Amino acid sequence: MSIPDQLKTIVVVMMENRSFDHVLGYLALPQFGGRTDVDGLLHSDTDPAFANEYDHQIYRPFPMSDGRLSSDLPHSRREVSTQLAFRGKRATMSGFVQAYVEETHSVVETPPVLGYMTPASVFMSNFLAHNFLVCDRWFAPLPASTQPNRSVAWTGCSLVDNSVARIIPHRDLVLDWLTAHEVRWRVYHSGLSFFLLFGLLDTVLGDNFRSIRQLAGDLAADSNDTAPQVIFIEPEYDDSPIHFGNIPNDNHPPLAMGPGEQFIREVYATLSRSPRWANTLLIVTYDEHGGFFDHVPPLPIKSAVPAGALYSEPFTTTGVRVPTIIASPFVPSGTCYSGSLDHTSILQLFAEMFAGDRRKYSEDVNLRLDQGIESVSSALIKTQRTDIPVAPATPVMVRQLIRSTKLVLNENQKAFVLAGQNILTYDSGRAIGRFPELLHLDTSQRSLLPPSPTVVPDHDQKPRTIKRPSRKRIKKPLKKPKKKQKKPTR
Amino acid sequence: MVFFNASPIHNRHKTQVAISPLVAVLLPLILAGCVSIKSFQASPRNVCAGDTVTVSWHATGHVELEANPPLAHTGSKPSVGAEQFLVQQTTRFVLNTQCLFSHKTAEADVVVVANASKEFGGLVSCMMPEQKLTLSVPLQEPQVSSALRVTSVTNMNTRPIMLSKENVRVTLLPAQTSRAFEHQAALGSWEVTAPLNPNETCDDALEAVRDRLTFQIAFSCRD
Repeated sequence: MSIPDQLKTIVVVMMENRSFDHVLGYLALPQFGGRTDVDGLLHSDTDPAFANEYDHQIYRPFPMSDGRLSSDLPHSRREVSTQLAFRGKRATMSGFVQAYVEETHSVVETPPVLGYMTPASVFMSNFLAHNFLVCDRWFAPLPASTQPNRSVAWTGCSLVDNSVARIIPHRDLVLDWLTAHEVRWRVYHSGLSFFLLFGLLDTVLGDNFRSIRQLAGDLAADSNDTAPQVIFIEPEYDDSPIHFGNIPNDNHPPLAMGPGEQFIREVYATLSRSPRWANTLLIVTYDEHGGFFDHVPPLPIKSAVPAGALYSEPFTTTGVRVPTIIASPFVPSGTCYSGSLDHTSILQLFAEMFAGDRRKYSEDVNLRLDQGIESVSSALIKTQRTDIPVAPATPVMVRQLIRSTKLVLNENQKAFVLAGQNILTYDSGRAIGRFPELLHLDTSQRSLLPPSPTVVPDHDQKPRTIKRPSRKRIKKPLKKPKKKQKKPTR
Repeated sequence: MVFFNASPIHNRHKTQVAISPLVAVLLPLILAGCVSIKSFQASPRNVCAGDTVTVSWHATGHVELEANPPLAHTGSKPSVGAEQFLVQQTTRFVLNTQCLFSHKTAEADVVVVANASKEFGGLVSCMMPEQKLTLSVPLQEPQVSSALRVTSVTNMNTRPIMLSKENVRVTLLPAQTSRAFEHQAALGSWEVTAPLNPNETCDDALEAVRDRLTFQIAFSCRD
């Protein structure tokens, strides 16, 4: 399928840590419409594909009310391996409860890893699924945690296989590729941007990064010559140590999904009210499954270990399926696409649209393409829809938050602190202007960081002078923390 | 999560608390190391009303044991221990351990299953000369109480299975239920086998059953 001529703007929203069956599997259940085109939870009470075993007792998926979980769920590379439970070359998908028990020491009748949402809990995803296109074979690219999967999403490959407190080493980012191909792009962030974790400094402080509060105004004000062709919209990440004005809404457990659904609603409502909607493609996806069960085995996609990688064992499969919905005038209403997709399908789409050939993104992306990963364009139609489904009223009460901080405990949270400190050290004035929450990056949080608190990567575009943070704004000078062992996070 | 109602500027001054170098160095170590749960178990997990269950734990930090619905003799506990409780209804035991700002929780359910059923099984092996899929399911005290009796068994697979325990053996068609094991103890070693179809390879058979065989036991309690 080629790119529709009228398609001008691609919008990507990447949420955190939910599996397909967990969020959209209900679509196949008779009591929720029984969609036969979606590979979901049909017969999950009897089909052996859904049986998870712990100590010879069988556990099966169950409907779960939305709400805060008691903890995050296991999803490191080792834990995902337990979940996939390979027998020879076949992933049986039978070890999710085992991994949960090993991590939490909890043996309960309804282990949360097997819980699934119902339409009332995911009102916006349900709306989008019924009015646009569900992708039921979109996989996280790697059977691992957030940092590896976001690395593949935004660079085409990953130099890491775990999530720890660091600036993430990486190949050229998609933002670099877009700039090199003279594509206009922007990132709209709700709080701290995940791109900070890749060590971007001048880029993040530049005009292409904007607060999500500017999105609606920009859509109205931009001319055809200035409107971005690619937009990344970031939620408020739960792993950020500070929140300023937005509550966390990235859907990362233990968060409830209500705020994330409300966030997706706001994004869709803003875009669909814009005059640019007729030429827009919105992709809502998740970086990885976050430990939640899915019954479809990952695809046998081999990844070479890239030069400079911090791991030596190559990946031989994708990760677990993640819920992905494409909302656009260029997809049919209430349909499902079952071609093989992962996050590099977006990079293929960029290459097709802006370089004229889906093979022109990178060799890493082509390696996956050659093994069957398709471009997002495969799911699109040429005929442009003219109807604009109206976003439903929100049933979610979202508390307004002025400011909150929390103890930094997991490795990805520490990575956010490190990234915040990095950009403060680089240019505190501009950094605080862009991310006001950095005013509140407490010294106690900084003390939890690993050695080398200031990491300035060598790939950022512009030369610059390293400055210390303003003493006016940050009373305590930066302390070099005690050296300690890095531990992989879940 | 802490919510502040004051203005951000006000908060900035309010929350920039000076921390001594010693605390800054020790805090991460304290937070990381002072709380852990090494094990937590309630045994058996499937019981009759009036059964005694043993709850055991090994943790660090300040340990509290809760039960829901509440039971006597829960509350503050030593970091390593085991206690017995008599349960009349399905009960969730919760182990909370806390140290400074960090805490961990583990949960263990004990289910009164009389007049109910549970599914057992797991990943199977394929025996090629014998042309069958086989699985052994040893049900011991951690899984089921010695008071539990079998009412019936049901084949949960899409192909026929042979189910045996001690000297009883029964062939069950898909979804078929049998009372062949009625009044037997649920404890013991259950053997499940499923013959391969004619000309079927192990790989094909394993894929067809998704590598699993399962069966359901409906329980009653010893009089």
